[in-house]
Amino acid sequence: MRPFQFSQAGTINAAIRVLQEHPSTRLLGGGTNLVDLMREGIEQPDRLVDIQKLPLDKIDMLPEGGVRIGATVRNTEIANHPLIRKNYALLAKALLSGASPQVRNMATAGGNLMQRTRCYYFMDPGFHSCNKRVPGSGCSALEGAHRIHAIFGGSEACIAVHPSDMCVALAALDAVVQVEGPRGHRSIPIHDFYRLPGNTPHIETELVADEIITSINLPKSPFGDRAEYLKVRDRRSFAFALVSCAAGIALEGSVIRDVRLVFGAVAPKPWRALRAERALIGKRMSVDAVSDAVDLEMQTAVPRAGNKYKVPLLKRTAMRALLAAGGVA
Amino acid sequence: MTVQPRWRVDGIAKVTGAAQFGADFMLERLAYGVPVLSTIAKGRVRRFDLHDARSVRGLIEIITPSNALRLPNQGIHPELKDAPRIAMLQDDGVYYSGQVIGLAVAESLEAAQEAASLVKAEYRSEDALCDFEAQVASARPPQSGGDAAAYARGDFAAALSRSDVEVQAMYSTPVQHHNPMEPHATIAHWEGDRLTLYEPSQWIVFVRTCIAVWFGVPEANIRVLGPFVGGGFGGKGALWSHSPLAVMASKMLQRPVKIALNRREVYTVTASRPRTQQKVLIGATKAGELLAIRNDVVLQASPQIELIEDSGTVSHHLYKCDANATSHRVAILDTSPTWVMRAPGEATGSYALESAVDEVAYRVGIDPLELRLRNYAEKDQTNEKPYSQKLLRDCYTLGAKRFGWEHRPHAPRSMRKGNQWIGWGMATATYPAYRAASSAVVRISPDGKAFVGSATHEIGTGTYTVLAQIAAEELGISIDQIDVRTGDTELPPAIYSGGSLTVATVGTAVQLAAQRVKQLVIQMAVDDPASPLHQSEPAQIKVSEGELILDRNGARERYADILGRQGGRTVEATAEAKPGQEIERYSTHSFGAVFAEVGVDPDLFTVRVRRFVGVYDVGRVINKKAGINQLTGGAVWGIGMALFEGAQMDPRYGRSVNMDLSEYHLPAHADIGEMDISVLDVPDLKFNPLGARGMGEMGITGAAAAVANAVFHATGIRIRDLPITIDKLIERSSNHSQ
Repeated sequence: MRPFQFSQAGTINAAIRVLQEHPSTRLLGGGTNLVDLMREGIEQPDRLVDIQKLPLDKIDMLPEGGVRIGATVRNTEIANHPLIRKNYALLAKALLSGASPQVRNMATAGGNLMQRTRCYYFMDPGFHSCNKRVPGSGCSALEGAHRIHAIFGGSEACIAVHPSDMCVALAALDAVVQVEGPRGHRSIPIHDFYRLPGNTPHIETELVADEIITSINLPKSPFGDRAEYLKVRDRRSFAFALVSCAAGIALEGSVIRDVRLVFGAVAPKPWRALRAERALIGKRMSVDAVSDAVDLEMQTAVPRAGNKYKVPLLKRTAMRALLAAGGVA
Repeated sequence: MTVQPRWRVDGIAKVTGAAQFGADFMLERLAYGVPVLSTIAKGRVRRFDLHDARSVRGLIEIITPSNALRLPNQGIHPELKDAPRIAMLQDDGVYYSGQVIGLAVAESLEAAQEAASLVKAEYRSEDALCDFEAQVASARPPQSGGDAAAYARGDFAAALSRSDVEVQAMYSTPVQHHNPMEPHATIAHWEGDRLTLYEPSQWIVFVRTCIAVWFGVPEANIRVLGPFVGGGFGGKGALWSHSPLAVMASKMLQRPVKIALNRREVYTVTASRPRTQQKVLIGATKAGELLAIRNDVVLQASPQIELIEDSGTVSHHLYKCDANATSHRVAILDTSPTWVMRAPGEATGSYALESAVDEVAYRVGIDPLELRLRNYAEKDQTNEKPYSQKLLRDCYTLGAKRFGWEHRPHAPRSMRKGNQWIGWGMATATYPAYRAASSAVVRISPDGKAFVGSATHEIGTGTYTVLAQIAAEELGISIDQIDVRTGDTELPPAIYSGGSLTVATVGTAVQLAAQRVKQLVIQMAVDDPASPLHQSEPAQIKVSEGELILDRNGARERYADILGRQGGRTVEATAEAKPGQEIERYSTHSFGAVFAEVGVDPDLFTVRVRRFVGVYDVGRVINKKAGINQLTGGAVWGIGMALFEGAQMDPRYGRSVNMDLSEYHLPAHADIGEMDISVLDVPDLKFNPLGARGMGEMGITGAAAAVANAVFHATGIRIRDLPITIDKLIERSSNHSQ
């Protein structure tokens, strides 16, 4: 591991100042991803600013009925918080399906947003080609081992996926990421927070180098209990998803008034299945309607030789999540 | 065993951190070494750029082939014919990706890591052969020849032509990495011309020999210490680059040097279980009689060592079958070396054979257990010898009863629970029982306490406890009065701790030494006019609770009192145990029957092992708690082998893509359902005086096949390429009736 300067930020502005003055700075939350990457030599910051003492560790009700999750709240606390359990069970379920209790006890909300891909070639500097790790070096996964890689949103430069469970649920809940920087405050809807790789897979989010995530705000959920998070993985715990799916449905009688369908582990970002959502709105909740809608989305999938299985697996996972959310299962 | 302690004698030391494992020893002026690993698969290092690395604060030295100590002997040596050729920085060759090509040594681990990461190697690459499947066609017989190359009995072609059904199938198993909790680590410390090596090893005596030969120093000048080993599974049965390099660095720098490998380094600096491809052909009658069994195996090997995990051998004797043929060929790859892993041969071989036998059962429409009973081998047909003890029929019967096998419908996809398909599968477990030569010393000190010493190893299996129990029973001294030491080459020499032979081998040596030392003390009492046992008949004296007791009249005296009158003398005896005539007379194997229930999601194809029953005959079980624990661990590993585990090679790089525990999946607790593991515990006294055959390897054998057969029973899909993962099942299911 390379030597680095370590400091603790007492205020948000102090943290921003360090980010401004020293571009090679990383903010340290729980460290569950960043420290691993530093050990492997993938992240080599000159400075670490510990933000765990900032007053961002609360979960509050918002005046209009939503909730604000501070950036340094631990994943375990979010998952167990009464407000989350009552109004956003989908989020709690997604969180609890991720990592292990020990990791969740450390990992923060902001860190979860910023975690990096688990692409094999990114994670091992012994592989010389990875555009995300070394821009311009090529992508080893395209013709290599890509069983866990993207079927949506990838490019010829990168087909790595975003590994988070939490963020898939956040996307289904229309979360908004709150950001502070030298130019003031910004609100970034989670659907716009992540960039697709294009030719610049090393740039992963809209967050600018001198900005800090302060909270994740959730509007009042129109779905309530009519939501489901389903994760399919190689083993039953402590494994990243092969595919996952968050679904929320608002019904009027048996007619779908509103719906969110978001896929995880199949794209460089939580993948909102807009085609499927549009097809479902106004339809009666039924197996056929759900199947047809998911098929519409799956038609746009671009699997490669080694991850074709994700297409049928994701379709079945999405159908099951939607049907469970809609109360049909 | 009459003495069955509730806990391990070293349990408290382990959980409190008092037990010192390889990397735990703290020495004055300890320096830290971190290896530099190659990132090409084959070629030479043309040039090192050490400029950046040398600027690291705290760096002591960077060792590369240009400044490495020249070793008088290296590589293959007559004394070391079983040792892999490992990189010791004696030349600039690169033979695989992840090979040691340099070593950074620094005042701190962090500085050594940083310097190692800054070493830039310029390579001249050569074409490397890293694609197993592409090399299968050019696989060749192993150089070792013999039965491993080819074995045959009976007229195979004739037997096959008499068969009503033929099952021919190809089974594949992946590279598996040894993943003991404790990664490999070495501390080397030269003081003048004497070397102390702290090495968590399964074979410290061999470590001493290797280092003595390589460095050209007498064995007497080397002491190897490894009092606790955090698991080995075969991976610590040899010496890998980091050990001689720590020795070299310590010699060059005149200070102790520690090299502790991280998980990723363990995967390539040491070795792994070879990938196998097994082509099995079985001919059977309609009644399920097995007439012909053949297994043609291709194994991965490397130029470093051609070690044969003989997957085919298990099919020589597991069933009564007059026509049998196997062959092993090796596909030489420019990848990190292959080496034995728990149940070498049987783990992979029993998967293929027991899957194929299951396929036969479906072809002839006979229950898989019934089919096995119809082909029960009463003797070992490879040598026509009887088994020293074979209670497999009891294992089948008891296992089936515990599992409820009689309620099993034969057809696949015929059982459901909730929205899950349920499948039941079974298989036979087996592993040879070995003994080897080993020695032990037993002493009784004037305070009546005993000492047991042998240069064997505690690799997590409970050696300290078991040896204490054996000595306690012989000496009549309670376990808490017995101090056992292992993992020190100053103690009487012992064989490696592998092949499930420690209890049968070292346990027997301890038993013999304890008997001798007991006789010495009895003789002292009998000869001593001051003893109440004076002039008694030695054969009538028994021992119990620290006392010698005369059967006839209850006259008794404590060990401490007898020895106290001898001027505080310690009495000791050393014994060597060797294989006896049992190998001439008998075939010696352990057996077991394993049953698995899986639940499979019919859409998503997630598989979970809900229940697992294993009943084993391993002879006498000295310590039930440690023994069942070990069998359970082995079975869990077998479940992992079936469903999760395997390195994924990227042949373009000659490098695995999943070289960490995040992506190299072992089972998590949530993957393991109810484990019902038991033993018959019938002493096999034809095998050795203890009646114990050993059990370390047994648990993994058969387990993967039982799970794979259960997955077939649940789904009707037979995946013949481990691990059985969701992608394989879903791809096959879409070609299926779905």
